[in-house]
Amino acid sequence: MIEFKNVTKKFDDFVAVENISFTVEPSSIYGLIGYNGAGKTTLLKTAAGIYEADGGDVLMGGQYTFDNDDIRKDLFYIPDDLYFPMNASLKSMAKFYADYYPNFSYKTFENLTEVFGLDKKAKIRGFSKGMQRQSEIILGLATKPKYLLLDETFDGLDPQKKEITKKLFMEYIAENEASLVISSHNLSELSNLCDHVGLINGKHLTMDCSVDDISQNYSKLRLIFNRDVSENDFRNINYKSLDIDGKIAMIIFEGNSKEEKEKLNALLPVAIDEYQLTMEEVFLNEMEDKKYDITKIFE
Amino acid sequence: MTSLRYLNDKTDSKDLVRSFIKVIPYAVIAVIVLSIQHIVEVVKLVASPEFKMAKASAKTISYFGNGGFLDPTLILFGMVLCGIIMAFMLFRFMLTKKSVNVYFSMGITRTRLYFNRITAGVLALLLAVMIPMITVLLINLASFGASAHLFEVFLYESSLLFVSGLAGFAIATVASAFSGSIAEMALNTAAISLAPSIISMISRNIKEYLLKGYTGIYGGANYLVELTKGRAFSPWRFAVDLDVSNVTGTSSNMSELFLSSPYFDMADKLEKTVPENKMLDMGLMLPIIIWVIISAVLIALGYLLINKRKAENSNSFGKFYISSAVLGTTAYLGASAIMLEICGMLYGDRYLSFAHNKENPLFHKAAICLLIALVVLTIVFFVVELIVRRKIKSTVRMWPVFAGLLVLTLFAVGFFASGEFGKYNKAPVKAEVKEVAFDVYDPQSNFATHVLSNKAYLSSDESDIEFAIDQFKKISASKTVDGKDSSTVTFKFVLKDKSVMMRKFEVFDSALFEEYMRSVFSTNYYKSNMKYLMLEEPEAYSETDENGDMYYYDDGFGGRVYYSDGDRYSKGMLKAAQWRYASSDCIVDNAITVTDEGGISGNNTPIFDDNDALMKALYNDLTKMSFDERYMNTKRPVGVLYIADEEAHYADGKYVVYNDYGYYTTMSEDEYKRYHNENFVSETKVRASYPAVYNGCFFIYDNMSETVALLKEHGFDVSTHAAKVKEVYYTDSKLSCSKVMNTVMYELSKVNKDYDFWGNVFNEGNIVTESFTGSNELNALLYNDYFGYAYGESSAKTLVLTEMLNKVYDEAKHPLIKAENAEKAQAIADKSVPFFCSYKDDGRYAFIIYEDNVISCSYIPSANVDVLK
Repeated sequence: MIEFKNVTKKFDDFVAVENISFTVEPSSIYGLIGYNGAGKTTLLKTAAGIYEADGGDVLMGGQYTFDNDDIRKDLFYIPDDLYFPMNASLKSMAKFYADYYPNFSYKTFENLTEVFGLDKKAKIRGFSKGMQRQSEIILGLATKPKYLLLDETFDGLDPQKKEITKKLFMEYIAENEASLVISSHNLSELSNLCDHVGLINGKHLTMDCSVDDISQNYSKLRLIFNRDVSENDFRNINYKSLDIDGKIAMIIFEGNSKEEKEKLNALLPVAIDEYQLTMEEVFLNEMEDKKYDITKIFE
Repeated sequence: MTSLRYLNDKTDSKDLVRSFIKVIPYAVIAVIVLSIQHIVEVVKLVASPEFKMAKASAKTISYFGNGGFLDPTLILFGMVLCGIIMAFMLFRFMLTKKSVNVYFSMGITRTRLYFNRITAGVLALLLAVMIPMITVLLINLASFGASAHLFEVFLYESSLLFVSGLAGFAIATVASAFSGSIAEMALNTAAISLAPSIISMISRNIKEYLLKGYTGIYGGANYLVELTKGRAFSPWRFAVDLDVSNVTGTSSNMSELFLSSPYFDMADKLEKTVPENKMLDMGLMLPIIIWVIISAVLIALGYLLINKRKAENSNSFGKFYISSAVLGTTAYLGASAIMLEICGMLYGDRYLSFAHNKENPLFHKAAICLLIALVVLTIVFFVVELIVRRKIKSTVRMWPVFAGLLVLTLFAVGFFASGEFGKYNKAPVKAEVKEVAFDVYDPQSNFATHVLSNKAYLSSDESDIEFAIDQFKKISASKTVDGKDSSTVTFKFVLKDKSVMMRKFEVFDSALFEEYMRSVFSTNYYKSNMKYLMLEEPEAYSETDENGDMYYYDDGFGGRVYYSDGDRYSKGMLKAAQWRYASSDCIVDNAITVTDEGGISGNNTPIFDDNDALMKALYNDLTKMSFDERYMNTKRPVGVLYIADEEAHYADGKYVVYNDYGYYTTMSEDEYKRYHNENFVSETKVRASYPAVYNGCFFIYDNMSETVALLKEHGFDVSTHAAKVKEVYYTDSKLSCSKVMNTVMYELSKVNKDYDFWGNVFNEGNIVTESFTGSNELNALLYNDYFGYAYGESSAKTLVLTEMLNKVYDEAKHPLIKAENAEKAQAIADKSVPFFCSYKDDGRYAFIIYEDNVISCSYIPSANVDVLK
């Protein structure tokens, strides 16, 4: 289990993340989403023990991670910015990580190399960006970590490799009761992978819930009227977003309030259809305070 | 428990092996270089026929091959560099974000990452040194046999090389701990390693320029202390200085081993001077031990810093406060050293040393100088910080460091400029003084100025102590006069608590200085000192004083340079000297076509062979003479006694011989005889020619009855030059004697006739008052002897001397004026004295040509200048 307890990290006077708390259970994949620069990488590096938190703690298996070799032998962090020494090959990197990770499995390494179809003896620096990422995923999983921290790991992978990787992660987590945190600003990448999602916005964790709960957090309804409607008709409704197109209105509001639905029924729509929100819609709704009127930008 | 776990942890051992592999290439390079330097050289020796001969005579004890293909200094520098490169290779992982992500998230703590790399580096350095050194040791054991010295030399040489590498390694390691990038690490390594030299330079110069009374470089032991403090802490210098036995100033025969002298000579030296039971000199080992401790402290500091290191600052420049502080401070210190040097050059110590005295007219100059220096230092500090930190806000945050430096600067300036808050130049209380020494000036012969000598005569006479205290008070309180020449007076007080107080003052008030010189003549010290130098039995020459401090250091070119000329003055020095006598007839040919290379060289004059009697007579005569009779005599002397111009002294079967460049070399008796074949007189003990100042001499006047009688008894000519005066040429009557040379030189430079001019230069033992060279038309030298009798040499062999001189002076627009008739010429000659007889310079300059063609460059004292009218 990975526990983030009121984690705060500053860079000099700049506060990158503040008071962030959430838990990642064993056999669970936690998706960390947020805009670019929201603090996802900072949070992951703090969890990996690279950065020391200025406030709060990150615990893995109940132990602090910062400069703790005991726990970090079971932890693997795949950064966004990968490190491979000059002339390193997959084979030499396997030997390198095997020296530092006692659980390193050459069998897993061999199997994964075969799955991804990479040349073990070729120089990694000669690989494409996606292949380098695949290499790091192979090496990471071969260390048999209990805790996996992945930063934008799908970036650069082709759709086929993305799917393979997702399946591998899910399989690995399930098999080893590991905890995985993955950050991304691309929600579609995480949609079929995570069981929990956290949203960092404005240095804080503004949302932390299971993917199953997301639909319960928001309601999305399509209403069809036999007349043209306007925003004025919905003035008594506490909605999150409203999109009107003549006789059709698409409305999203928080929760699944019967009261709000009764108010909508009172408007006498011809038909009401209920939809499930995608993660992208949830993400955008959470970030609604950052909406810009793009039309005014180039005035 | 931790250590056990550490030993058993495979991760650690693998990390250690990985780290070690990274530095192997550099260790291999070091092994190769050291092997070529030492092993090859030793093998060459062992295989040589000379070695077999030396071995047969059992002279050789050990040889480590320092005379190899590279200068040992370069080897030591190379080891420091090797240590730096190893640290760079081992710790660069902390300097890039990508590698930090990996290493700081792996299953190994920062502490272990750090100490594995330290272990790997130290191990690699150790192997790099020990592999060639143990090989050399084994060859030595096989060739020379085992001896205590062999193992001492092995220990010394190995530790010197290893600790040099360790010093570089430790500095670069600690620099990496607070640097964000490779460039920053390199800069910090340079800054830390150069800081001790900069601080040493500042500490020496700040005393030199600000502390009134400081004896500076001529302070003998004081200078050694400075050297020790500063250089022993420089990673680049400590081993190099050790190699020339300079750091501690302590005599150590062990250090001789590391000079690149011929090995048989070294072995010979060892056998004769190092007793078998003598252990390795601790003074020599001290800087090595100091650097082991410093390295350990730096490594411990690195450990603390690495554990606190913010990984987010990797791949950055100027993010670490310590780094910015180190770089800013080093820049500030470097600028301070330069400013001090510039201020010192511009104003000399005479101005800056008055920074504390508001009443002194130079106070304002000193204050302005200080103010400009502070402005420059402030600009340097903040500009460097701005470059390093790149943001004004971050730069401003460095103010506490700047404030600290500023306070330190002001304190140092205040402390030294005020003479350590008034303590430094406070005259000692008579009751506390045991012995005194003070300068006794001899304007004709410098040997009396010897206070800085460790062997100077010390008087415990009460009146001498009172005199010294009284003069000390007067002279220390004397004011500086802008733009005026000065003379120095030095006092030495040995206090009852055995401490020594030595102060040197510049005296700008010529009246005060003359009063001092005159009053010294009436002290007991003057007579006792003359007795000490002339009548006491000479001591065998020693290269060390009673404390074992060496009087010389190696010049790096196989010669020795003495810290002070004064260090060669000692009891019986004049009695031990090789005296020559020159009568006034020593010049017999003044023609420009002189072919006698010896010319007036003193080497051709007879050597006086009864020093005991001579010194007694001379002492009795000299101590009866007044100051005016000695140094302002208006009569012509009848002869001169002078010390042979070869400078050599005899000690331990060797002659120490002076050469023209101020260096000393040692020669065996046979070599010395070959070198000085015609002049060598076999003497006992120190009765070789003794070190002397070139023009060290005593003019003999006809009223010096005992000396004159003795000289006559020995058949020497004791009379003034008998020939009649033929012609006299004199210089512009408006110019004093000292100014005429400068004026002539200045004028010659204006007419641009390609003349080079040197006034009063020395040439192979002769005094050359004027030397005009470089002209296409004329290349002339005018030699003078002690009487001012002269002969000339010219490239244009057809010219006679008078023509040559006239031509030069004409071109300088200061034509020589010829005395209009024989009567006036004779009158001028009668009123003139030899050029070097007077210390005053307010008279006129004259060339006297006698009927026998002897020329004398003479001086007409100011009291006699009326004769020119």
